[in-house]
Amino acid sequence: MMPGSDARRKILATTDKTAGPLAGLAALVVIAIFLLSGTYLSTVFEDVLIYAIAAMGLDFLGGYGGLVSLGQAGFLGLGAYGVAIAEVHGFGPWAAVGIAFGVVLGAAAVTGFVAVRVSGITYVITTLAIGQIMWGLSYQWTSMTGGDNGIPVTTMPSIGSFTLSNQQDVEVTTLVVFLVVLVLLMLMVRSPFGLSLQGMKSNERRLRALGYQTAVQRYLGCVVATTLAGLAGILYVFANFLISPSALEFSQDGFLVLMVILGGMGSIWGPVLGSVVIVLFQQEVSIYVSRWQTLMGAVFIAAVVYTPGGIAGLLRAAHRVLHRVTLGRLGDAARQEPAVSPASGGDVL
Amino acid sequence: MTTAPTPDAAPPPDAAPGTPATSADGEPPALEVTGLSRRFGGLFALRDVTLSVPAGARFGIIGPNGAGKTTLFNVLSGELRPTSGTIAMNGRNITRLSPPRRAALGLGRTFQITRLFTDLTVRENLTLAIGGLSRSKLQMLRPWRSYRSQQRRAGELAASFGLGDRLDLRPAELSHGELRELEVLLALAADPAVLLLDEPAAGLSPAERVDIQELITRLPASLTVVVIEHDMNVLREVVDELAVLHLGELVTQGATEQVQRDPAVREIYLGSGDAGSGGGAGGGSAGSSGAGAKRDADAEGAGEQ
Repeated sequence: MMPGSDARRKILATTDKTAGPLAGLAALVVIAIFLLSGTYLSTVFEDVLIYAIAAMGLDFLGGYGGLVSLGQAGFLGLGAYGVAIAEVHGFGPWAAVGIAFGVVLGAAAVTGFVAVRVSGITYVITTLAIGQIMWGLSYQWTSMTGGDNGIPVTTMPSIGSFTLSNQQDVEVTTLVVFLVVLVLLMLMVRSPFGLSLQGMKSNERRLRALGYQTAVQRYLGCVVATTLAGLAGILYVFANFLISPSALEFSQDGFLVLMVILGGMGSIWGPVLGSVVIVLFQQEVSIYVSRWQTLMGAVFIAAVVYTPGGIAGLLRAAHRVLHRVTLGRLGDAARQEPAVSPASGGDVL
Repeated sequence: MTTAPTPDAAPPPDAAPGTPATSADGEPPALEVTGLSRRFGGLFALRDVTLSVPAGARFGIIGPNGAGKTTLFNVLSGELRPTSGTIAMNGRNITRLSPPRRAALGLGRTFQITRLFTDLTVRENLTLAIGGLSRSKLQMLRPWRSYRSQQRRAGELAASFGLGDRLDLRPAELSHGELRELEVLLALAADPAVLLLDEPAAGLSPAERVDIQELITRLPASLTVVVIEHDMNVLREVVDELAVLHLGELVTQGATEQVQRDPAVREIYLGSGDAGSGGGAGGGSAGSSGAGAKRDADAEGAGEQ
């Protein structure tokens, strides 16, 4: 063993611990720069963050808990329509936000019971049905929703001179809400509850034999996921000044699931990266390639085949390779260190 | 045939921790099964089984393939509802309780086919098992790693079974023997009063079987242990009382020695012509019965669903 390798290994261990947060911070800075740049890209990144919130919620229940929802866009629509319809009925913007959030919480409390009752593909199909019912309502209940035209939202909430009719203030608000959700979810997946969600996905029968009433895990996980979709919807309506049935279409449910799978299921960062890729495809690549959906499909298939862990999995693998290369320089003794196991590598990002 | 607990297997005075305060007449049996039946369509997997496991006992349940052993465990742990009959634990009727409720009352079980959290590390597996009955399990904002006493206990449990340096590995990286040990550890982690072990030695090599036997011997004396086995050789050393199941019915229950001499049992076990398993001959077929246990596992596993 060469002299000083202990010290170097210590440095390596420290880099291991800081690599994830540092990479995350760098990504955040990049997103914030684009978001606040005041260019066309600002609105693109607004959408990135809004969809990321809904996708992270989807991943919390799907990637960690194993219950994948195909109705997430319906609840995004519920939050957005909640604001718009309340404003149409004469409520002020803050009251409208409160009403919309209340409606979302109520809907989440009810759908939670679906999660308690059904699993696997049945859950996928049931949530798909719920999402489609909401889309159908938004499309056909014209007296309430304005039908195909949707509802424009004209009055924005404000505090003093900080007003959501100002583009930059919407961006700041979106960023702050996104960060709060991100931090909360990161805490949750590391908590005993988050661990039990993962245990439920891994082996629910065993978890029950250990004393967990998994109905509670299912219910709370579903409430969190649904509430985040509604929250994203409330932001959506202020970012777009309009909510119409197209936001609740089945393709939107599909895009949210794509974000999670492409970005990496079971990682909080994954859906954010997935959202960046998918929104850029929708809004940027589509300018240059008219068949962008075909291209995106190809990218998706390649991702599923070559990196089952999504972009997040790819980054972890890259980190492990780097780790091994660095460790290799420390000589044979160091290479045997158990720290190279996928388990410890997986914790980093 | 129904038998009362034999006098020589009477529980030690400090047995049955977690016994509800309601226990009226002294020491109720840890498990009391009365007239238990479970039917799948026209087939009785269990028919009118009545047995009683004294607190602190080392109790074995044996029987050939298809005897209904795993069905009995699934009914005891609450995963299957009995068609008729009752189950009482420490004097309390638990027939209608769900598996988590039974776990909360101190019933732990292992599975014949290893059922671990395969996506999680050994440490995470143990943390889940330790936290199952704690109030912290619904805590959403505090990291599970920050629960020091739980983490210390996870480390101690792993170390006590030689898994101390395996804490950060996932089940896929463990040997088969280590997986079986972890399977038992998960059930032990919640500090149960009654532990059901479903073929703990299934698929193990003769050397690993000895490890599992030692593991059972080392369990705390106050713990009531019920072990299912297919192969009497594994049980002879570790249990003091045996029940024999055959085609869903209880053939006999009694002290190990006495049951081994029972002609009806010898008939069931030796009738097939397998010279290894019965009373005295003992040797020989550890390897082949290992393979048999494996087949048994596959067959009953398919039936469980």
